[in-house]
Amino acid sequence: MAPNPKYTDYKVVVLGEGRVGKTSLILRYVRQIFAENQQATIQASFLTKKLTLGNSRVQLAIWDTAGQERFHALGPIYYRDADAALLVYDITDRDSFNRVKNWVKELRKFVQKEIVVVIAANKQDLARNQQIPDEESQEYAKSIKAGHFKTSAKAGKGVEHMFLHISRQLLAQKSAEISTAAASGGSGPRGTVTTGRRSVIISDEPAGSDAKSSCC
Amino acid sequence: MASRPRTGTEGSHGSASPGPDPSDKVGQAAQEPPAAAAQDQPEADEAYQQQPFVASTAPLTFTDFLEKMRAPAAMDLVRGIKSFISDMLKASSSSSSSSSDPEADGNKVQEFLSRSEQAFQHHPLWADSSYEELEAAGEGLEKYLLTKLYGRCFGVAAEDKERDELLNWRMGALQGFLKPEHLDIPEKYRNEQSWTLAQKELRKINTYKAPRDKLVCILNCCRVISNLLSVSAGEGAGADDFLPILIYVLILAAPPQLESNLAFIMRYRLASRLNGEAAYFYTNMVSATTFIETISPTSLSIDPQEFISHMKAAGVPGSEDRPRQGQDQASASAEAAEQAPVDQAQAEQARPPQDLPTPPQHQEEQQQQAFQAATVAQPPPPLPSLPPLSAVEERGSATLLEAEALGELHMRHRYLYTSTSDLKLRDVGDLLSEYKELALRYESLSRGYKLVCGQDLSVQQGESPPAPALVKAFHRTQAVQEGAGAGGDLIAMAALGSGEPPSLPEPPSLPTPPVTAPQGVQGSPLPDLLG
Repeated sequence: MAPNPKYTDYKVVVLGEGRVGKTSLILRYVRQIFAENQQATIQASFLTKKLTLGNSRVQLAIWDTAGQERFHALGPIYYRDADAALLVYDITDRDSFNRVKNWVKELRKFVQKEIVVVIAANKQDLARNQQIPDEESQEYAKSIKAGHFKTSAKAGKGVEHMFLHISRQLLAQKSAEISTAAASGGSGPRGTVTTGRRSVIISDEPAGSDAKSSCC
Repeated sequence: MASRPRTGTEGSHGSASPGPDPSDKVGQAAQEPPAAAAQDQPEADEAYQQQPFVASTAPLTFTDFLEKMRAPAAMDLVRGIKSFISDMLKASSSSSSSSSDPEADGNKVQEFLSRSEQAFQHHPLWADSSYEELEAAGEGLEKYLLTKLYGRCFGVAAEDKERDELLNWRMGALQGFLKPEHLDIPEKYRNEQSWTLAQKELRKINTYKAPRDKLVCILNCCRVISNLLSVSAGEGAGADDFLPILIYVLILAAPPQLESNLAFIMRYRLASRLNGEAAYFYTNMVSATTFIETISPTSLSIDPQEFISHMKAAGVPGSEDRPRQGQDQASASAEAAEQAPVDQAQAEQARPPQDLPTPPQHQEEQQQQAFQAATVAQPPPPLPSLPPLSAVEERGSATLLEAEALGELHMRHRYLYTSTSDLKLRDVGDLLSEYKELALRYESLSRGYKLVCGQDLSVQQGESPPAPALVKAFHRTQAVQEGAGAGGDLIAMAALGSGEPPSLPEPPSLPTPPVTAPQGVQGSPLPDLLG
C-alpha cells in the first residue's frame, strides 16, 4: 500500500560539492523561491513535489545531500536506492565539475539498477566567470548518456524544465522495466517477500532511450 | 520557534515538540506516539507539500486496535497473530545452540505484517473503513508484534553489538575534544538550547520498543535541527548545514545501542511505511553514525596530530604506542574493515546503515591508511614490522596439531569432522552461517592485515592462496589422528568446490549469537490479545 495510491513515488538524490547550489535548485523548483540574502523560512533538505504527466501522476521525493568533502564517503547511503541522481556543479568551479565525474563513476559502480542521471550546470547567472565550457560538459553528459541542463537557481532558469525531464525519464524507465519484466516471464529475480525492500531490477534498456513517449 | 507554514506535520516540530514522553511506558495503550499530527489534505497543495511522517494515525490509537482485536469477529486474526509470535519465540529457543538470523527474522516479520494488512482490508471488522483506519490497524499490529518480540529481536545480532560498541567508543572519545568548528558549523547555528533539545529527543529512543516509536525519536531530533536551521538560516539551509549539526548533536547525545536501534527499525518497520521524510531522516542518522565510525584525522577541520593524540588519550583501539601497536591496529582496522564485507553480504536487502563503507572504498581505504599511517608514524617507522604472512601462517598451522589434540578445533568448528553422509538437510542453514561468519572474519583479517602491513592476503579472483597451506596442515593432523577420516572428506569436498546436496533451502544470512535477554528498556506488559 502506498500512502497515496494515485501517485508513483520516485526518489531523486541531489549530489554536488558543497555550495554549488543544490539546495537553491530544489527550493527554486519546489517553492519557486530563490533565497538570496533574505531569510528563507524553510530548510530544504527533503521536499516532495507532485506532478501530472499525461495520465501519470508522479511524486518526486527530492533528497538533498551534504556535499562537503568530508562526507563524500557517505554518498552510497543516500543514492543506493535512488531512482534518479541529479548531479550539480557550479560552472565557475572546475573542482565541482570533476567531482560530478567521480559521482558518475561511483554510481555506475555501486548502483546495480539503471537510474536516471542528469547533470545540472548551475549558476548560469555567473556565466562571465565560467570555467567549464558548455561544450565540454555537454560532451561529457552525452558520453555517459546523462541529461544536461544549464540552470540558474537565482534566475529561475532551466530548473523546471530539468525536473520535468527527470520525471519523464523516470516514467519511461518504468515502462521499459515493466516490459522487460513481462518479457522475461514476470516475477522478480529472487523470491524475496516484501514490497518496500527494493529488489533490484536490472533493465536492459538504456536509460535515455525513450524520453518522448509520454506527452503532455 | 518560527513556524513553517503549510507543511503536513507542523505543530509537532521544534522545541515545542511533544516528543515521546519518557514517563510514558512502552505499550501503555492510551499513549499515541508523537508526530501523528493531522495531515494536510493530500490534494490541497500540488506545488508543495512536505510529506507527513507516515499516514496519519490520528483517528485511531493503539487502544483502538486492541479493542478491535477483542471483538469476536477478530478471533481468526488473533489466532494467527498469536501463533506467529509463538513460532518466532519457539524458533529462537529451539535453535539456541546455533545462531539466529536477524535478516531472516526481519523478512518473516515483514511478510507477516504485509500479509496481515492485506487480510485486514478484506476483513469484516474493517468493512467500510477509511484508508487511515486501515493504516492505523497496520501500525497497531506492528507495535503489538514487535513489543511482544522485543527481547527476541532487539539488539541480539552480533554485528549490531559490535557496531554499537565501536560507535560508543568513538563517540566517547570525540566528546572529549570535538568542537563545532571542527565540523565547520557556522556560528549562527550554534544554539545551545536547540542542541540540547535535539539530544534529549534522540536519547528517548531506548525507552520505546515499537519500531515506529523509535523512529519518531530520530525524527523529532532531526526536526529540532531542521527548525533551528530554518530560523537561523540566512539562505536556504539544506543538507550541507544539516548533517554536520546532526553529527555533532549525536556525539553529544551518545545514546547507547544506537546501531541496534537503527538495525531494528530497518528490519522490523514495515518497509513500505519507512518512506518519505521519515526515510530521509533515518538515512541521515545512519549516515551520521557511519561518519563517526569511520572518522579519520582528515574527516575534521583539526590538526591531524591533535586528533590522533586526543584519540590516543581516549584509548581508542588502534591509537596505542608501539609495542602492542601491531596487534591493536590490526584489530582496529579489522574492525573498521569488517563493515565492508558485512555490507556486501547484506547489500541486497539490508538497511542502509550497514551499507556504508563498501562503495567508495578507495577513499575510505585511503583515509584508513592515512589514519593508520599517521598513528604509526608518530614513532618513526611508518609500517610496523610484522613478519611476512607466510611465516605467520606457518606458525599458526604448527599449533593446529595441538589444538586438534585438545579438541579445540572441534569445539570451534562443529562441522570440521562431519562427513558428507552425516550432513542433514537441516544442517545446511547452520553450515552456511558458519561459513559466512568464517568468510567475514577472514575478510576482516585480510583487510586489516593489508592496512597494517601493506601485504595482500585477500582472495584474488576466485583463487584462495591461503587454503593450500591450511589444507596441508589439516591433512597432517589427520595423518596423526588415524581414524578421523571424515575431516579429510570435508577438506576434499571443499577443495573440489562444493559437495552440496541439490535443492537447498533458502540460506539464512549472517550469523548471530544466541538470543540474549532484552536490553534495559522499561517495558510495560502488553495486554494479552486473548486475555
